[in-house]
Formats: sequence, C-alpha cells, structure tokens
Amino acid sequence: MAETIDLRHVSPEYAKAVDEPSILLTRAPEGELTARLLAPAFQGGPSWKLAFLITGGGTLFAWTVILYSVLAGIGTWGNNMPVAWAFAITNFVWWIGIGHAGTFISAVLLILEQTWRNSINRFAEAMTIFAVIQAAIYPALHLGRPWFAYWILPYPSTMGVWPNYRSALPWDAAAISTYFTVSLLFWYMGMLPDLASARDAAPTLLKRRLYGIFAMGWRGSSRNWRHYQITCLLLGALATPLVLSVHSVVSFDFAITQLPGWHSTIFPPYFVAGAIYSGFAMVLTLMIPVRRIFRLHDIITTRHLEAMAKMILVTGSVLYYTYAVETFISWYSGNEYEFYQIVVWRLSGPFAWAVWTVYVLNFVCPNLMWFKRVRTSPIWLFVISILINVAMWLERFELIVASLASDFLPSSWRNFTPTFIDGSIFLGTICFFLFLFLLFLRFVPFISISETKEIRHILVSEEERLERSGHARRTDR
Amino acid sequence: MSERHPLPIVQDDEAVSRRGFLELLGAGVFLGGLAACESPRGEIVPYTRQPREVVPGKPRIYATSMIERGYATGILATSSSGRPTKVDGNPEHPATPGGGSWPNQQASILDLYDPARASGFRKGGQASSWRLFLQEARGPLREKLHVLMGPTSSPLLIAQLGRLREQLPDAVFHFYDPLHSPSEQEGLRRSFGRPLLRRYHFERAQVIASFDSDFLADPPFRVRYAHDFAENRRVHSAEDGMSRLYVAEGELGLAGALADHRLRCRPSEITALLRSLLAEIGRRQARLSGPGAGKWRRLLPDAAGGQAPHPWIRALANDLLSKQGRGLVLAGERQPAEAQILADLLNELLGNLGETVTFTEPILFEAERLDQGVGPLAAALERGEVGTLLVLGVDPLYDAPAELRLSTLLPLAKRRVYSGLWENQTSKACEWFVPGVHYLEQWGDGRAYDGTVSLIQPLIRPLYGGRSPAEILSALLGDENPDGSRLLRTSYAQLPRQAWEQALQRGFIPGALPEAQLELSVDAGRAALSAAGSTEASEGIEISIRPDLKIGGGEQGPNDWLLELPDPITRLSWGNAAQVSPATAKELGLAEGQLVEVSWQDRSIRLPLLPVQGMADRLISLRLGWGNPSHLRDWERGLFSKDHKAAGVSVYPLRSSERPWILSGGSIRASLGEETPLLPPQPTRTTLAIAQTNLDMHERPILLGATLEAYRAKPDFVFPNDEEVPDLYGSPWSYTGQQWGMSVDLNTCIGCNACVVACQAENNTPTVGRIDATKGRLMHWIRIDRYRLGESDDDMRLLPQPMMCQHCEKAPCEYVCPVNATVHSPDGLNEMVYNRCIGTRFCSNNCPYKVRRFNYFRYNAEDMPETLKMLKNPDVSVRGRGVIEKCTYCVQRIRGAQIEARIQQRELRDGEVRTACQVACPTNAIVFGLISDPESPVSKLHALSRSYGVLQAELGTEPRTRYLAYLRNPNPELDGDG
Repeated sequence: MAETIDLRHVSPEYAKAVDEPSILLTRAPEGELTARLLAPAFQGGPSWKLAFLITGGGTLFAWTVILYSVLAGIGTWGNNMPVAWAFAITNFVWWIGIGHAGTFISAVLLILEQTWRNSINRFAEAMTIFAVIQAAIYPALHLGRPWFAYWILPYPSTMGVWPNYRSALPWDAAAISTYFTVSLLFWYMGMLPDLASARDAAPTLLKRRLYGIFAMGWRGSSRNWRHYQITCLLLGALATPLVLSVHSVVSFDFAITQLPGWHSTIFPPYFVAGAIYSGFAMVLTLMIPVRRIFRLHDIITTRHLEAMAKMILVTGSVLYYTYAVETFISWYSGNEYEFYQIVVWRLSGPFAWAVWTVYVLNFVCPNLMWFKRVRTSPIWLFVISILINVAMWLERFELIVASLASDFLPSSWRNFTPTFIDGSIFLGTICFFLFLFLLFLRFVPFISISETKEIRHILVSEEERLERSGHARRTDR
Repeated sequence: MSERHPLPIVQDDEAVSRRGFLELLGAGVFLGGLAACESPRGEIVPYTRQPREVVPGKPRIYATSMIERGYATGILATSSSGRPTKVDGNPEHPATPGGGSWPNQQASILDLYDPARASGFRKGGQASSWRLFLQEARGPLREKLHVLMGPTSSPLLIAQLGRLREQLPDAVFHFYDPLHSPSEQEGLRRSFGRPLLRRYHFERAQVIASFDSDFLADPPFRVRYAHDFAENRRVHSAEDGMSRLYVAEGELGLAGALADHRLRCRPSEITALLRSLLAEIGRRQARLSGPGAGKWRRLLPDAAGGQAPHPWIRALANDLLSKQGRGLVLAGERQPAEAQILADLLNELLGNLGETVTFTEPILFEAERLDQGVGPLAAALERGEVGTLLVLGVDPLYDAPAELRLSTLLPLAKRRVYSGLWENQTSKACEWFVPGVHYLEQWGDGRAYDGTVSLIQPLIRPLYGGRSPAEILSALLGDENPDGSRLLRTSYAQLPRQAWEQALQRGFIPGALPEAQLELSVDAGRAALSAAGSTEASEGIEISIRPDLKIGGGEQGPNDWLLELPDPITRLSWGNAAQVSPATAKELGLAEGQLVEVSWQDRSIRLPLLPVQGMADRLISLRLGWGNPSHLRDWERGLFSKDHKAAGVSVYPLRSSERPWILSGGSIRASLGEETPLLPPQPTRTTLAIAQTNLDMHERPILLGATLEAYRAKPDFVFPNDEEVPDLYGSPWSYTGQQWGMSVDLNTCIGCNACVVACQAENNTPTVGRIDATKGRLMHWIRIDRYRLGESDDDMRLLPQPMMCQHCEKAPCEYVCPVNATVHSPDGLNEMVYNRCIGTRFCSNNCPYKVRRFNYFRYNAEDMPETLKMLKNPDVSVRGRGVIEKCTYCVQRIRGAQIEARIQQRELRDGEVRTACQVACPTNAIVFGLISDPESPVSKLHALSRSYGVLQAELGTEPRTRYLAYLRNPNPELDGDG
C-alpha cells in the first residue's frame, strides 16, 4: 500500500504513521471502531471467570502469606546476616523497573510526537500502575516492623522525628509516590473520553451510571477537548523526567553505600536503561497474547512490535555496555575489594550461575533484534521477552544478594537460601498483577479509542485528500 | 575447721541480718509473683520499709564461688534488687586473677533461671516433700548407703563424709568425674611415689612446649593459666620480650591456634615425640646446667639412639636448653603415664621443676579414688550390696562407660535417691528426687586449685525449693532441720564473727597450700623411656575424644547460651561433629555435613562430619558433652512442624573405662541410613550451624601481624593500613567533653569466647535456637572471628579477632538510616535507638564490619518463662521483633557511672567504667576507657605503634575500637613464614 504513495506530497504526520508498515491497518468507520474496542468491556464469559478464579486465587494466597509473614516476622524468609536484603528488594526493583515502560510510552513518546504510541499507551500505562502497586508492597513488607512504615515519610509528628534525608530510602519513598501519583493521573486523564464513550454505549443502567461516575461529566465539547489535551501534555511533561528519576533514585539505595558491587557511580543510567529494557519486554509479554486473543492485528501492528524491539535493542546495549564498564573499572580502580566482588566472586562464586545466565541472556536477547525477522515475529518476541524478564530478575538478585554475601570481612561471608515463603510472595504478586491487569482488560477500554480514532482521522483525511488530488489510490477497503 | 564447736546461728542474733534480709527480700518481691514456683519457705517480709543498704535500681555485688570439677573459682555476682543478673571472676581470688572468667562461668547464671530445672520433691511418681525425705533419711535411707558424687574439695562436705563414715561404717563413697584422666595421677604416682597436684607457672616460662595439652582451655585452672600466659605475651614496646609457644597436637586447640610453632601429629605419637626430644637434649647434655643434670647422665645415653629427629624437635631442644629453668614442657592429661613421666623428666633435666612446674598435695578429697570412677559402684550393685544409692548431681547413665551397663544395674539398689538441678536419665531411674540448688542459691565451700578455701554464699533463695548436698548429707547424719548457712558457719566456728564476715565479703580465706618438695624417681624415668621406646605409632584411623571447648563433658546441663555459642575453633554452634582434616575427608570421600558412622570395636555413633583445618591426618576428633537425651531443643522446622532433638550427638557410648580418650584402630564410613519400609528414608546429611564459613583472610589487611623481629625492626609496620584518608568534608563532629574508646590486643586474645557470653548476659541478648543459627542469624554483639595464617597445614595458626561495633567517627551506618535510629552521641558513641528503628536493615548492609544484628523473630518473647525475665539486666532494654541491635560499649554502665559522678559533683574518671567484655576477659586483652584523657590506659594503647583501625585505610571510617597487631615469636632456626 505504502509504496504506492509518493511521500513528497503527504503531510509529515501521515508519512510517520504509514511508514513501513502502517500503525493502523483498519479504515473502518469511527462508530464501528468505537463499538469494536468497547466490546470486551461489556461481554464476559466462562473463560474470563476462569482467568479471574486463577489469578484471584493466587492473589488471595499471596495476601495470606503476606499476613503470615507480618504476624510471624520476616524470619520466615531466607534473609540472614549479612544478606539482610534479598527477595523482597529484588522483587521491588524488578517491579519498579517493569513499571518504567508504560510511562515511557505514554509520556516520553507523547512529548516526542510518536503517534504509534496511541494504540498501546493505555495498556502500557496500566501495566505501569499495576507493577508499581506490586513494587510498593515490598518496601513496607520487608521492614522489621512494617506497621511503622509511614515513619519514612515526612509528616508532622508529635515525636518530632523527621526522616534522615542523608539516607536514600526517604528519597525512594518520595520518588515512587510521586511517580505513582503522576502515572495514575495521567492514565486516568487519558481514559476520560473513552469512559464517556463506554457510558454512552453501556447496555445496562448500572453500567451506565458507573461509567458515568468515572467519566466525570465528560461531554466531548471542544472546551473539554482543549483542556484535555493541554492537561495530557502537561502531565506528559511532568512524567517524562520521572521516568529518568525514579529508577535513578532506586539505584541510589545501592550506590550511596560503600558495599563493593553496589558502590558505583554508573548505577543511575544503568538502572534506568535496565528498567526501560525490562519494561518493554513486559509490555511485549502482555501485548502479544492480548493482540492475538482480541484479534487486534490491524490496530496493534507489526510496526508496534518492531518499534518496541528496537527500544529493547538500544536499552539492552546500554545494559551490557554497563556490565563491561563495571567489570573493567573494578580492575582499573585497583581496589581489591571491588575486583574480588565483581570479577572473582560474581563470575566464580556461588551465584555464578545467575550471573552467567544474566550476561548471556542480556547479550543474546537484545542482539537478536538486529534481525528483522525476529523483530516482526510475535513468537520470537514473546519468547525473548520472557527470557528478558527472567534475566532482569536474576540480575537484580545477584546484584543485591551476591554483593551482600561477600563484603569486606571474609569472616562474615554467608550465602542465602530462599524459603517457601519467599517464593510464594513473589509468585503471589505476579498473580496479583495479572489479576489487576485482567480487571483492567475486562472493564476498561484497554486500547485508547479516542487516540486510535485520532490516527484514523489523520490517515483517512490525508488519504481522501490524496485521492481527491489523484496522487494515489486507496488499496484497502 | 572442725565442726565440733557449738556456735549460735549467726543470723539469729541480729534482728535485721543484712544477708538474711536480702534473701527474704529477693524471695518476697520476686518469688511471690511467680506462678511457676513453689511458694517460698518461711515468712515473707513485705517491702514496706527500705532496708539500709538497698537502693532500688542500684545493683549490689557479692563474692561467692563456683565449683568446677571439684575445684572452686572465685565469682563476683551482681544482684539487681535481689535477683542475681551477672557473674564475673573475683579479681582477688587466685583462680580468677584480674576478674577474668570463662564462658561457662559467665553462662552459669542462665542455669539458675533455667525454666527446665526440676522443681519439687518426688518419690516415685508422687509429689513429696523435704519433711518426708528427712523422715526417711533418719531411717531406711541410711542402710548400706552408697553415695555417688562428683569430686569435691569442700572442707564442709569432707567433714560430713567423715562423720557419715563414723556413724555408718558400711557407707561407701564413690567420686566420679567423667572427664577425669587416671593416667595423669598414674604418672605422678610413678614419678614421685604419691598422688600430687601439678601446677604450671606460665608467668615464669619463656619457652613453652605443649604436647597435646590445651592448657588454655582445659579446666579447672584455665582462667589462671590464660592470665599468666598472656602476661608473657604482652608487648608494649620494642624492648619487651614475649614467650615462645610450641604446640604438638592432633586437633587445633586454643593454645595450638596461637602457637608460634605447631606440629601436627596424632595423639598416639606424642610419647615418641617426647622421647625424641629427650634424646635430642641427651645429645646436647653438655649444655645442661641444672643441679639435677648429673644424676641423669647415666640414663641419657640410652635415649640418644634412634633416628634423626624432626627439625621441629631439634629447634625446640635448642630453645629449651638456652632457657633452662625458664622453659616448660607439658604433656596433656589424656596422654599415657609414660608421656607424663617423660615431660616431668624433661622439666627436671632442664631445671624447670620448682620453677615453672611445682607440685602440691592433692586438693580433691581422696583423689586417687577418682581414678576408679563408677567401676566399684557397678561391681557393688551387681553384688547386691547397695541398700541406698544417693546420687548427687552426676548423671552416670548418660556419661559412664557403656560396658558397665549401669542402666540395668541401677535398679538393683533397693532405694535410689537423686539430687540435682535437672531431671535426667539417672534421676528418672531413681525413686526419690530432691531438687538441687544452684551455687547462687546455696551455702557451701570448696578449695581453689592452689588450696585457697573459697566460700559459696547465696544471693537468692532456692527458686525451685532445692537442697544443697551438705543439707542432704546432714539429713542422713540425723540432723532434724539441716540448714546450709548454719552448717557452713559451724564448720568455720573457730573464725570470729568479724573474720567470718570479712571472709564472706572477700569470698575466700587466703592461704595457699605450700609447694611439695619432691624427687623424681630414676626408675620411673628409665621405665618410661624404655616403654616409650617400644611403642609404635598406630596404623589406621585414630579416634581422639576431648571435652568440648564450651560445655566440657556436659556436666553443666542444657545451657542455651553455651549451646549457641560458636565453638572457638570450628565456629560450630548447636552440636558437635566428627572432625577430620580436610585431606582425610577428601581421602575418605566425605563432605561437610554428611552423616558418618564412627566406630571402634563393636561400638559406633552416627554424627555429621566437619573438616577442620590444621588437624592431623587420619584422625577423628570427637567432643564430649553433647546429645544428652534429657534436654531437647527445636531441631528442624518443616512446613507445618517442628522436630525436637537433643543438641548434638553423645560420644560417651564410644568410650570405655580402659580407653577413655584415645582409640586407635577406629573406622569411619558414610552413614547411608536405614531403609525402613513405609517410613521416609533417614537423612544422610544435615546442616551444620557454622557461624563463620570462611577462615581465609584473602590477603586483606584485617588481622594484621608481624614477627617480633620484624616489629622491632619496624615498630610502625601497621602504618600503611592505618593511614588518614583524604576527606573533602573533614570530621563531621566537633567534640567537647569525655570521649570513649577501646583497644583490643590481638597478641593476648586467646579467643576463649568469655567476652561473647559476658556481653550476652549483660545486654539481654537472646538466643535464636538451632534453626535460625543454621541460617546465620546469631545475635551476639561481639563475635570472635578466626583467620588462618601460615601457608602449610603443618605450621598454621588460626588467630582470633574479637569483632564488635567499632564506633566509627564516620559511621557508614548512620547516614543510611532513614529514620535516624542510629546516631552519634556527644561522647562519640554510635548509638542505637531501638524504639525508632523500623528494621530496614540498611545500616547492616552498609556496615563494613557486619556487627549489626537483627531480630528476625521475636526472640525475646513476651511470654517467656517468668524466671527468664528475672535474668534480664534491668538497665538494658529488651529488644522486640524487627529491630537492629549491636554493641553499645555498655552504654548503660557509662551513663550509670556518669550519674553517680554527677551526684558526687565530680568529673568521671577513667577506669570507673569497664565494659562487660573487658571485665570478663581472662587475659585483659580488651581495654576500654577515656580516649580524651591522654594518660588513660586506652589512650596509651591507642598511641602504640602497633595500634590500627580495621579497614581504616580502605574506608576511612575512623573506628574508635582499635586493635594492637598480633606478634609472632618464631624460632629463627625453624624460619617461620612470618
């Protein structure tokens, strides 16, 4: 189709949208498109019930185990001295990292006017919010006295104690809560027109009322739209620096210490790259099955897959560059503790299996993206995205645990063995995440209808103009 | 010291006797509220009027004594409002000079409050009473009485035993100590013709050659020996000298781990080594200058034969010859009589007898009968001669040799009476049970190893209504109302009241036994030489059995503090293991934690394997005292279940009367576990709770050291590792007022762990149990790290380094705490605010010394038994779940002393505050005090050229705890590896 268009005569937006392959293949009328994208929100079914049962059951189990570990103490985990941080912090960093892709897609790409984000941003942003919720469970849960978690926040207390701002943990609390708030607002803001569409199309009174409440009186007036677009742009501008800051701050939890393996200035860019990398992988993991199940190949096209694969290639390259620099510097610095930790212990110690898995997977996976066949193949991408998620979890695990397991005094070296509870909480949060995600798929228009229609409008109006001027003919429909 | 003086009871002629009142006070205030305990005897005095000497909240200190294997050691016990909460050595007492102590003494306070202690009298299955016992004691219990008890030196008990013998001519007394080694007495008898007690004087010894003797760890003289040994190892300037220590041994002992030269050999090779040392000295006999040398010339040529000696022996012989009269040769008490005689002979030749080795008459009552152990009792039981068997405190069913079959013989006694602190296997085989009393609950006495009479006075009424051995024996003597305090006072009736009170105040009556004048028998020497010449080193696997370094033979019962304390050498807690050298483990194809079956003849035990560096090859070392089935602990945790087991495995079943210690021709194999249908297979391996898995220092500057020579050439050899680190910000603090600091001398630390238990007692540190210990969650605020130095296994040292919070000026923990729970105090302490801690553990991650401890569970449970609550030091917060804790420099003692000084309107002086670890250290290796006072001992130690801060050059933390580098004094002839 595209080769028949002479791009010299079209608008730049159109050129960007149809550029090999197009970001929208359907040219269905707007009403039809709206109805099609709203449909999942209005129809359930036995397979939905089964999916909710499985993930809901897993969630319930997770909260039971969490309750147990709060009641009995975190001695139920495998943590010890010196490995005082293990699964909980690994999971925290992993989930926060996953959260990054959503905001990157919805905010950074909005600012950069990448229209291909329109059809997947809602989806990615939801993933962000649910991942941050999972992440937020851990820092509170891993405390010795989780019921005092709020002491980390600066609030006017009668005890007169203020958080210690030399520590990175209050920074963390601030960064993550800001990030969550902005992401949530941005996500909800973007959803308003679609909620209103859902209200208007809802089959029952109850649904109409509920969507009505959440639509907050959206009428689709041009005033509405004007405010809406300004707000989205402002929130996008606000969220963009957060994408960089949140994981930088998370990396400070490690970088401000003096523990060999943690004490490193490369951590902020390293963590941000790793976060976006793992986040894009998670978007692929979720998007590829959803695209298949709801038959959205004409809305989420190969172009989207390719774009994300390219992001993985870029951020993955940053990542393994960092591995190389980290290793080189540990030798170049001449610091025996660093060298032992990063070269000897990591590569040959008891966690070497994890380290080598990470190094191999995180080198091979992104580099496969050089091949167009891989970039455009949903199967390849799905498998690779799973492998990347595994590798990124292991990376955080070996970074946190292996460094703690061998620090300055060899007398206190000790390995870490996870317990049943450790594993259960991790699997439980995956279930909880999927449960929230299914709720989202089931009850909310998960593809931004208004923004998809925006693209359709760009395409259709330009094509009609072209047809009128006889430059090209429409090939489809 | 005769008991015949009739004397009025001291306590009755004072209206308010201080001690009596306190006793009642303690009982009234605390026992009254205890649901678990029997209500106290006699009248309770309510706390309505404050007695003259008691200030609430202010601890009082009393002198008393603890009896270990019959010998008394001096104790100072601290009482907080009537509850004893801490014990330490009595600095004036000859057994505990300077107030040092041993882990088991420190931990003895826990025994007092042990909720598992037996309470209440029992006859058969029925509850009974002291009154009923008294009735029977005057009647049937006196028939054909046999008493089985531990060794004793108590003048009171000895007098009572004498009177019992007069009253009941058919009464027989058996003295039994499972750790007693008959060969030592045998050697002495052959050498000098009579039973004696040997004493070493390490403070006079320049060259110490120890042959299978762990003189720093073997009771009962260890605190004194450790103290004296350290005196000769303390180096403060390049001019100071230090002794040289040679150790030949199979296992790594406390002394061997510090040795300047060490020889790995199996225990059975010791006699041959001693003989070759003697031959080597014979070759150089022209250099012998001692007065006795001439007498022995005739004997020595015999010895000169044989093959060329080990270079180690040659160097040792030269060294000993150059320090005649100031050398010391020791043979371990497990060694055969020949080895003992050879060691005496060497000391005689080298002029050391009377100098570094002296003798006194035996202190223990009928010491020679100890050699026979329970054998005669078993024989008497078998013959049916025993009417009443009275067992006082010992547990022969657990620890007596198996071939005596005591468990089947014991019921042959018509009446069986047991008295002790705990119900155990023996007590369960007895119909009468009389609860015993802890030494902090009783009146009594004993003699220290040098003969000094030491007094035991109670600090609290018996918590479980027990009776002391003196009271029980007195009941058998017909006393209608035996009372410990009266019995003791009566036996010292010749002392006027003032002198008596003075003695009680000091805890002992000064006066050591005089040295015995002796002559070594030439025949014995010749016989030993020829016997030693004929012994051949045994082939195959050799089994060496030793008392455990922490719990001895298990006689102190189930003490969680000691069970959880990591072994000073292997760092193993909660259990024992079959220890072998790594080479042997490899040869046998066995791995750490694998369950093995160790057998000798037809006996075998099953326990986990533990490879230990520095051990002799083809030697299995086993430790006594573990696996008492009467004392169960949480052992394994399943998903929904917990397993209870005795801690460790008992090694007693391997021992026999003839071969109690060293068994040659043993065997070891992997235990596959029995396959029983329908039952899950037995495990073939187990997790060992090892506190330190890595002994290699990785060439990091952590435990610094040098040879004495290198130190003299370059006194500031530690400097490159103690540099000031360039800093952008400068010191974060500007101090005014007094500043605290600590110095730890690595040259005198012997790694005995006394400080660890003392800290635990002082600071209410909980035990975590075996399951959490295997996960690495020990809570000790101070730990003794061990690092291996020396290339070869033959000549390695395993040096101790006490590690606790270093109280850094630039503390890495402080800046990472999000809630300001760890902060700097104006006097330079790194403080921990438990109430503010939310348990992020960030501080621990950033602590380069890893000295912070975390309460993973509620180790100090609110529902702990009431008695354990009484044990807590009232000046220290008891930490709950989820908070970090660590060494505070005993801040409660600092603040207490500061308040005291402020009340008296004066400046606090250095020396007024001593930390618990400092007080407990038998070698005074830990010194604490004011670093703001340049004249204080700690300031002077910090100023020494050997003083350094661990990781200072690397991280610039500026720790306030500084170490004095270790020094080694190798023999140039052996050219040590430095």
